[in-house]
Amino acid sequence: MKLLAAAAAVLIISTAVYAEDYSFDIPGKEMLELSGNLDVKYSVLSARKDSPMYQLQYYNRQLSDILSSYLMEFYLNGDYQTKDVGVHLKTHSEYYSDNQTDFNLYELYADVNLSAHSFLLMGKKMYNWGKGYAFNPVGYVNPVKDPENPELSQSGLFSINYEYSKSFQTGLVKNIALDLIVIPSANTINNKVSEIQYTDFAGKLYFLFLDADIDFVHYLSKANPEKAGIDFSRNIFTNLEMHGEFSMFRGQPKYLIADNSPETKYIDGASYLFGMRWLNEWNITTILEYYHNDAGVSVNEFKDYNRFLANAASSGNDSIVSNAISINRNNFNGANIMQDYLYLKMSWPEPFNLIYFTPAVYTIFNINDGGSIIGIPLSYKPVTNFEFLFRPVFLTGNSNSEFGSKQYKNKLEMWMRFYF
Amino acid sequence: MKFTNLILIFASLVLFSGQAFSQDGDELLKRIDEKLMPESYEAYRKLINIEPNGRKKEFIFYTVKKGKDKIAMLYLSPASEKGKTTLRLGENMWLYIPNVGKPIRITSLQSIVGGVFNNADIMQIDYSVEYNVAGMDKDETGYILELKAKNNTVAYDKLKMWAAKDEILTKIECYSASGMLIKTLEFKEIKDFGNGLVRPSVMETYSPLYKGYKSIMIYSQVKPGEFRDEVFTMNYMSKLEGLRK
Repeated sequence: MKLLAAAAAVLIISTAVYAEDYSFDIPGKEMLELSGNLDVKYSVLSARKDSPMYQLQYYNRQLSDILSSYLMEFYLNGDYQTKDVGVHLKTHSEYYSDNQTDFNLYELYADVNLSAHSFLLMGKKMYNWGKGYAFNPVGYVNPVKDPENPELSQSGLFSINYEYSKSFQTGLVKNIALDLIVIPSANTINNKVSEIQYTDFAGKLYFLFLDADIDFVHYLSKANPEKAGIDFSRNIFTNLEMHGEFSMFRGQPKYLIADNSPETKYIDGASYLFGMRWLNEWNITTILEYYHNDAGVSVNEFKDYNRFLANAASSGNDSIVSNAISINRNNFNGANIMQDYLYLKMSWPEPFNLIYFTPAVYTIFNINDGGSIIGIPLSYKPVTNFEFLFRPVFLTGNSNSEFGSKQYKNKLEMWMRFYF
Repeated sequence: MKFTNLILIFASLVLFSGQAFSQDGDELLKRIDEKLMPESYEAYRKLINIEPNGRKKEFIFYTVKKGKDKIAMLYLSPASEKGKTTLRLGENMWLYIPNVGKPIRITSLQSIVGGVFNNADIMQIDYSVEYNVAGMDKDETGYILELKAKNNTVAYDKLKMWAAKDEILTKIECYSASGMLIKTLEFKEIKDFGNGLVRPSVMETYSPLYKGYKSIMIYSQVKPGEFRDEVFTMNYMSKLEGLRK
C-alpha cells in the first residue's frame, strides 16, 4: 500500500514537473540593454624567417622559430530602443599588455522612424553591402573584410543614412528600398573641418523581384573612385542559393612597385563575384565563391613588390626599412591584393552525433600564383553562451606567392568566447 | 451517339467530383490554418532542443506574422543569439546577424538553431499557401489529409496531416519526393490564448534522421496584431525590437 502511495506521489510530482516545462519567462523589454562578448585568444605561430615581410616586421631581432601571442578582445554593445527612436553603440577594446591596449568605437548612431516607410540614421554605422560571403566587389561603404573571419564586427563609417522602403501585394516586385548615404570627407583640417566638395554620396536601390534580391549601387565622389554595380541573390532550390556581384570603377588606384619605388596608376575596370551556398543531405553547408578584381596586382607585379621588401630588409638602413613598412601598410595591406581568388568553405554541425561540435574547413586559393590559405576551425559549444574555437591555419605557396611570402607558415589559434 | 453521350456524362461526373473533392479538401486546409493561428499575430515562443544525452539547448523568440506568408522573428535569448532576426516572405528567407550588419539569404532546409526543426518549421507560413490537398479521408477521430507541395522550393514534397473533428491540427508527417519520412510533428496541450484562439500550445518533433534528438516549440502570449507591410522587409530586420511592448 505504501509502495502504491509512493508510486502515485512520484507520478503526481513528475507530472507537475513536466507540466512546468511548458511555461517560460519572457525576457522583459529593457529600454537600455547591454550585451557583448569577451574573446580570449592564444595563438602559436610558426615563423617564415626567410620571408621579406618577416624580416621587415622583426628587423634586426633574433627570435625563435615559434612565436606566441596572448590577447583579449572585449566587445561591448549598448542599445536604447523605443518604438520610433533608437541609439546604438558598439565598442571594441583590445588588450595585449598594460603597455599595449587599444579602444575602438565601432558604431555610435541614432535612428528615427520618420514615417511608415522611412528612417533617418545619423552617426557612425557599419554598412555591409553586397551578397558575397568572403568578398564584396560592390561593398563601396563596407569596412575592409577579412575573408578568414567575415562575420567579425568591424568599424563603421561616419555618415548620414536615409532609408525608404515600400512593399507591394501584387505584381512581380514585392518590395523596393532606397538607401542614400552622405559621407563627409575623412580628410579633415585640424581634425575638425573638411571641404564640402569632397563629401561623398552612396546610393543603393533594392528590388525583391521574382523572388530574387537585386541591388543597384552607386558611389559618387570627387576625391575617391566613382563606382557603380549590381548584385543579386536567389534561392534556386530548398537547399541551394546563388549570388553574384558586378562592379565597374573609374580612377581606381592600383598600387605597384616600379624600379624599386612605389607607383600609383589610376585605372578603369571591373570587379565581380559569383557564388553559391549549398546544403547537402549530410547537413554539410558549402559556400563556394569566385572573385576577380581588375585593380589587383599580377604575378609579376607581386614579384616586384616582394623584391622591393627584400631589398629594404637587406639594406641595413633604418629609414629605408621604416619607409618599406609604411608602404606595405598603406598600399598592400589587403587580405586579397591580387586579381583572382577562389573561396571554399564547408561546415558540418554535429557530425556523427558529436553534439555541440562543428568542424569546418575553408580555403582561399589564389588562382594567379597557386598559393592558398587553408583553415580548419573546430568549434565546440558545450555550455550556453560559451564557445571554444580551435583553428589551425596553413599558408602555402612559393616564396614569391602572396600567401607563401607571409611572415608565418602556419598558425594555431585557440579562442574562448564568452557572451553576455 | 448514345454511347458517346454516356462517356461524356461519365467523364463530366468524374471531373466534377474530383474538382469538388479538391475544393472541399483545400477549404478544409484553409480552416485548419485559421484555427492554428490568427492571420496576423504576435507571439513569444520557446524552442527546446533535447540532445540524445538529455541535455537541452533553449531559445526564446518574439514572432510577428502578417497575412498568409509573411513572418519575422527576433531572438531574445540566449545571449549568444540575442539580436539575430529572421524574415520569411513566401519562399524567401533571410537571416540578419548584428555583427555582420546585413541580411543574408538562407534556405528552408537549413537550421539556424540546430536540432530537428529547420528554418521552414520555425517560420511556418499557412499550409494552404505551400500545399494542395491531394487526398482526404475522414474517420471517427477526425480528418487525414494528403498534401502535395505546389512547387520545388517548398521544404517537404508531401505531408500527411491529421486533424481532430473540430479541425484542430494534431499531427503531421513530412516526406521527401522519394517518399522517405523526414520528420513527424505532433501538436498537443490545447490552450485558450484568448480572443477566441484555442489551439495547441506545444509542437514536438522527432525524426528518423536525428535518432535520439527531439525538439519542442512552446507558444505563449499569442495575440492578434496589425503590422504594416514594411515590417516584413530586409531593411526592418535590424529594428524588430522596436515592436515589442
